[in-house]
Amino acid sequence: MRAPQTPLAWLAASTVFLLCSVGLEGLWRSRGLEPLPTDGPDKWVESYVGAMGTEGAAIVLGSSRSALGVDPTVLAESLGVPTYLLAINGANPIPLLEHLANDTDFRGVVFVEFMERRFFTAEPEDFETTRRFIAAASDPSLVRRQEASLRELFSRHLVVTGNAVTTVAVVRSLASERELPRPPPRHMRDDRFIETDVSQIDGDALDRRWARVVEEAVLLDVPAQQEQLEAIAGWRRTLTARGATVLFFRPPSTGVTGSVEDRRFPRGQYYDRAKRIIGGHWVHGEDDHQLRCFDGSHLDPRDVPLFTARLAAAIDDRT
Amino acid sequence: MVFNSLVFIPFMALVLAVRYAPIGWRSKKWFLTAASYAFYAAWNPPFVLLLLGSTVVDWVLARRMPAATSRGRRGLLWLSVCTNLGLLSVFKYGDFICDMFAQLLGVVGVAYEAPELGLILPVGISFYTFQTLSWSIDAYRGRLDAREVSFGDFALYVAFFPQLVAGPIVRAVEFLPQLTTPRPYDRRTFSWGATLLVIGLFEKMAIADGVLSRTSDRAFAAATELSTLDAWFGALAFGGQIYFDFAGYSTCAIGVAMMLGFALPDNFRFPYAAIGFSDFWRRWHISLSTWLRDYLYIPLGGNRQGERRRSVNLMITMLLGGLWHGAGLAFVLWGALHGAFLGIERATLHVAPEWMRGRVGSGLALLATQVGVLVAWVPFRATNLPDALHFLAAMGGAGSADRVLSSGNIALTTLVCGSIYAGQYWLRSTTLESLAGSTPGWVWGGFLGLMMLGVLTSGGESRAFIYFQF
Repeated sequence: MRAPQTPLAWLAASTVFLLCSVGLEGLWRSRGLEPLPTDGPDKWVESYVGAMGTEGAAIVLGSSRSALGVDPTVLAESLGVPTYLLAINGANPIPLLEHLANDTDFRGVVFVEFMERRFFTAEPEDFETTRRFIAAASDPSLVRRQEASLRELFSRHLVVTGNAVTTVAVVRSLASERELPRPPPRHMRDDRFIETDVSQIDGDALDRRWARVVEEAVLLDVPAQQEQLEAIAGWRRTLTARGATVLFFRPPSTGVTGSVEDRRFPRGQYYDRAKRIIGGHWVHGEDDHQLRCFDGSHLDPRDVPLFTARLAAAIDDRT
Repeated sequence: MVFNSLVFIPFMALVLAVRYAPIGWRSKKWFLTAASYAFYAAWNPPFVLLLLGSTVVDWVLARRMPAATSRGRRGLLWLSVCTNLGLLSVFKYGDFICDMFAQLLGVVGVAYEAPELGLILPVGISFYTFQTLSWSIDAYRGRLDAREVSFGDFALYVAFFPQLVAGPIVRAVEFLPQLTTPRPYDRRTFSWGATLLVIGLFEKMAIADGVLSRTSDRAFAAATELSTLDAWFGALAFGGQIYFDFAGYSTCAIGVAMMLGFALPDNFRFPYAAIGFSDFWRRWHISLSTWLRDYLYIPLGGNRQGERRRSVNLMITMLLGGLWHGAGLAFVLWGALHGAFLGIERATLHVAPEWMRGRVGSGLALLATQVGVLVAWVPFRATNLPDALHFLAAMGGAGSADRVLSSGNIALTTLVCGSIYAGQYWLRSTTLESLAGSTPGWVWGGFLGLMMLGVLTSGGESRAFIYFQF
């Protein structure tokens, strides 16, 4: 073997690595980027374990509409119980509701996000993401927690290891924006709530995008819809019989997305039917006309406390 | 535990510290065995019992072979084969067999609902099963005397953590002699091992996961609605992803083993520069293809019984090779495609005109090989057989008009996969070591530093290696 494994090669490697890492870290910080915790199954499992280990905890199941629209800190203060946000971006809450119904120990308060295109969906990917997160919670690996803690340690102290400045993200930013990455408009808090700087977001473009997603959603046929709603009703009954409280809430939507949702999913045929079959407590976000969405689909951060307080009040009224 | 996890760093540091500590060779070997079991247990602790059981059974059976009669030896071999393949069948193929059985009964009009076993597939079972099988078969053939091998050495051979979960598949005759005498620290070997570890991590984290998985995941998730262009780029991205994922793992495994002072066989030799399918299989997953050749194809008769029988043997070998990867008809189709490609290649070799033997012919053969390999990757990656057929139809021109992949996806795939093909063609007759040897140390070190930076900035969670599922 004639490989140049001289000390010079390793000295060069270490120098290049250290100089570039330190240089990049400085560059990203000078552009206003900060180390942020990263969301993913490990972070979710942390919240899940907290929720399952706390008697009478409140939990929020849903997608990004809940992750951006229901503030667990506000909810915890209003309800007076620890609250955990178990929403998963782009995922369907139904498998998690089923999982909770089958978990004989859970007796807390469950807020379940209702969206027509998720409750009446025929798209399996929606369910798969949630199942992957649930599976992560029961992963028998001896080192998963340690791995998550180490990753958390890095992401909390180094910008350079974050997802906003990966090599691909930098190339993308240079190609599309003609500039290096800027601080992302969203960042996740420790309780997994996502704070958004709407001034950095092109809400109209996103609104059109979400409207297209709603327009293209593939739904189950009517008998399968009925079957799915009845299954959900069964899980709700199981949970309430055990002493848990279940509340379904429909986050508001506005703009083009709101119009498409109103047209594709008339309230009488979808929301009211689901409410009738599933039963229990329900809150519809559009009953409060003050609420605004910055991109048609996600609640404006200024209205998050109001909407969250409405959910807490709905629980207080009904228990 | 995986090489691309952060917990692997303290684990490896501890293993290296003990490996090079001033203690006896025997103690070091036992420590490496214990560390290997800990490495495996980190994923799912109860399955170490399966690994241990398999180890004990094969060690005991092989040791009895030399003293047994010819018939007795054959019986011991069959017992070993049945035990190993039995475990593999239950864990890996249980549901598939039940499903096939139910479908078979359905054909003859008997309605039968197969029970779902729902067993977890123990990581690496296909790899260590093939290792223990090679031990038993070699003992049966008299290529090794199992009585001369201690249980500790055999246990370390089976469980040696760098190659335990995804290969390379190491033969007992290659590894066990390395355990007989102490292997002192060698700076060059250690240093080259560390270099390979960095290269492997870069291949896996920065290229396979960081760049190519996005394009291939997106294309295969939308298998039924792809345009022709998207389908080709999706297949191209997966071809690159699986290469960098699996070759990345093998490179890490060889590197880690070298850092511990052991040599593992090469598993990849620039396969995307292969000219012909037989050349491809001399370059891709070499430890599996040579295993299948030595323990399946040749015992079946190989090429000793005429052309027709040779083709049949080849097809059987490739079908079983496909099935080895996973319990599903899509893997069988992948194996069948490669079996057919090899058969066609063999048949056309005899009738190829003279001009085909020159540079133009080589170029065409290279192109045909790489297109064939790409086409075969589709059933390998697709979620199910109908999706694979949709994907292949899109590649054949029956795609939709909608675009699933962004121009960014296509540009990055072109850049990375173009570099793979060009780079591998340039290096096809050489090795990484000779390339490193002919490059000035500071230049090589600079590249290594950039690769380390690529690993640091690859982001995201640690994705498992694709071959773990096999």
